[in-house]
Amino acid sequence: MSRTVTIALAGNPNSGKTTLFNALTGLNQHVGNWPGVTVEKKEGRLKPNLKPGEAAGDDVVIVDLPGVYSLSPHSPEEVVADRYLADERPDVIINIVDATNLERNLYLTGQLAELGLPMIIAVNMMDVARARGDKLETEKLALELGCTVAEMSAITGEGVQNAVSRAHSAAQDKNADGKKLPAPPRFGLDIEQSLTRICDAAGLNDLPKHKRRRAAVRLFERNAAATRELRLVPDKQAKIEEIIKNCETAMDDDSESLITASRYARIEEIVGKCWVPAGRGRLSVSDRIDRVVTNRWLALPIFALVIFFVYYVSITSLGALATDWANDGVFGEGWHLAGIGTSQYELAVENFNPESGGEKPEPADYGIWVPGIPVLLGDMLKALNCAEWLQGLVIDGITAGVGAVLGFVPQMLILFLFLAFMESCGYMARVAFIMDRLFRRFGLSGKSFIPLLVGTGCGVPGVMASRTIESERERRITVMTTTFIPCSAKLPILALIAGALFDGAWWVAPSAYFVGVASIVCSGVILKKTRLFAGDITPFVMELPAYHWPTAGALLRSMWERGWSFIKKAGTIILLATVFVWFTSHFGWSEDGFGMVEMTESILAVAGSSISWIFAPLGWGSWQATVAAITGLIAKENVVGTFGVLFGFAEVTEDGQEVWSALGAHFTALGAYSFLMFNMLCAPCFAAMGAIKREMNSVGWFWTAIGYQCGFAYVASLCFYQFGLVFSSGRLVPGTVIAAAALGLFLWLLFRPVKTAGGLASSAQSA
Amino acid sequence: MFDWLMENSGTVFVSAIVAGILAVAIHRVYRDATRGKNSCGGNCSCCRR
Repeated sequence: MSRTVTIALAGNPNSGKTTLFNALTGLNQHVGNWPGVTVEKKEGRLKPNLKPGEAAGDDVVIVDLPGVYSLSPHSPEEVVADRYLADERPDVIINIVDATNLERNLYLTGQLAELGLPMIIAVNMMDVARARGDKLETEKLALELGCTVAEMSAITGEGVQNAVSRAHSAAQDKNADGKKLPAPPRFGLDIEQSLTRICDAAGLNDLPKHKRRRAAVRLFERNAAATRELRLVPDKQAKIEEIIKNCETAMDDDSESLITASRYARIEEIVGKCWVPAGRGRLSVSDRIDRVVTNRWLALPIFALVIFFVYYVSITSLGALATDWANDGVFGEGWHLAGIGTSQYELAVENFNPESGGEKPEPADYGIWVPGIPVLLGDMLKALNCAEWLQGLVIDGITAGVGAVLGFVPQMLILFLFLAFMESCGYMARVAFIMDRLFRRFGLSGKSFIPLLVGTGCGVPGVMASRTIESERERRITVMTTTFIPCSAKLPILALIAGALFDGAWWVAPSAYFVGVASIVCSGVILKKTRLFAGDITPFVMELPAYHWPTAGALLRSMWERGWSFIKKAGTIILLATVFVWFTSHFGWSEDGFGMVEMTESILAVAGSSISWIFAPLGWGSWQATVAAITGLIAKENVVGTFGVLFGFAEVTEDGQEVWSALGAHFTALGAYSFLMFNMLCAPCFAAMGAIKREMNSVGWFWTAIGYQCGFAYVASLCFYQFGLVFSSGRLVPGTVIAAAALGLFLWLLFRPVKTAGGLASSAQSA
Repeated sequence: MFDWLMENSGTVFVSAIVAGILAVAIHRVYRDATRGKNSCGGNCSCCRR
């Protein structure tokens, strides 16, 4: 008979739960080699090919719980995991234990064993442990913990099938006679006696055995939630408190510490029996790498070099080659297959003189010529004798707008591949550690850097990731500043400005990342000095995972996951936006009434021109740039899509020149970088704004965040452009005076003394 | 009417295809919004509280 079997994956942060979840379900949840990737539980169904024989007819549901170090409900992740396991009671738990950190991982194992649920231990990363020369005696460990232990490596897939099979078997036995349940850890005699007394005092003896013990331990730890759940009357509470105090006096420690110490004592005993580590005291490869990578003096320069390299390769060098092909070939005039004949054709075009009366060189004469999509579509529409407006909509609207965005996919894929590598190998976790040092100096916790790491992919999960920050004030600052980091949707803008306006200059793309980081740091300092955000900095404790080589499959999956989301978005929201931009930029009111008009008389030109003066001091006061920045609020890629429509991306120039040359002529270098800065720092897309609203949980705070982002972006771009003008041309204009005043205010906010409890302290002292 | 249709058959045919594509795009945006999926580029259907 078919039935549903629920398997919950529980374990410490970064122990490999999500990797195992993806391997078991075939889903593609985001995986990162740093703690906190999963903040909510996720569900999927076991892949049919992984089902054990006896489960062939069963519906096996896999639940991926957030990584937690314990089940004490201190953080949101711990609450999610604890509530699910205690209330929903899955059929079996797979407790993923990191073999390279056995002692710390077994702490949670002890608490899971108290739940009274069938459980198996999946010792993950055994390949890494074996490579280090460590040995685990699984049979002894199974005996000590009272449950099955399976070795595996979620990344390579080794042992995964075996772990599922054993979990399924354990689920079948759960109601037999209780013997298959794991053994909860025993504490010292004094504590055990206290627990027995608490059971009597609280009237827990009617509860099932596992519930009784868990409740008693939680009451002993003074867990407020347990007291609430058991609805204890004040008399009983007083009696329990007396029992706890007696034990504390006898053992000279507080009750929570007593339980923690007892758990670790038991873990030490178990590990001593089952774990044979390779030569203690010897530095592992990870430790040796960390000596350099996290070195006090070298860490930041190395990080800067890594970011420079990643952005240089993906946006400027290799990425630019691929994108040139996509823009000029696939979404342009066309391309020679395998590049054969391209150089000869270009030479012929260069030597061609129209006045000599000869025939213009045809690309097809020099190799196998594949026409671009706009050319093919244009020919087809002409052959079908379509109306001009329809040809305009399809070629100048949809193809130009969507094509302009899709043209940057190759660059994005290369960047995603690099990001996936840095996340998977463990370097990004080090970056959070490195940035903690820097951030703390400026009033932010390193915890704020985790949302920024997530935000490089997309601002929405980045903003959501701020939930892990306990301090409300720090969380709000993080929500307000996370989207300063360039997300994947901003990459096309970055690539466009770097390629079309700076001729692929090497420094443009990496500089955008550093502008984002600098803006976060400056905002941290400024906001922390205001009454709204003042307060102590939350300590940041994070485990640095061992470095490991990610598999090619995992990297490609991660790259594709992000790339495909981007492509899908181009087919929905970007497509609709480009149609809107095309319509409003080609239609308007003229003397003959409403109809197709010159672009300068269109609805969009009129609307854009009415507000473009706002951006004139930033060096890009044209209506085209204004509407591009505004359509970017729908989705940031729309900035490029809008330029594609407004500057005729699909109209291939006859001499084969760069398709973006019209755009290049529209901006000065200073204005272009100012435009880039504004779009990187201003309010994010609607989706991210929605996330900010949800996380702030207040309309007032939401508008404060959006107002701050737009104001900061405006001032930063204004100062950059105006001072750039002064340095490049020596001209002083009214805008320069406003910029000087804005800079003065900014510097005052940055360096003003901050009032502390002990009186005045300078920002340096407070740091 | 028939003559007009014959004369503009290409325009009618391509317009119908474009309208269909736009309808599908609007439907997907609406469906994703109602399912709690944002058009953010991230795989974050679980993002809602």
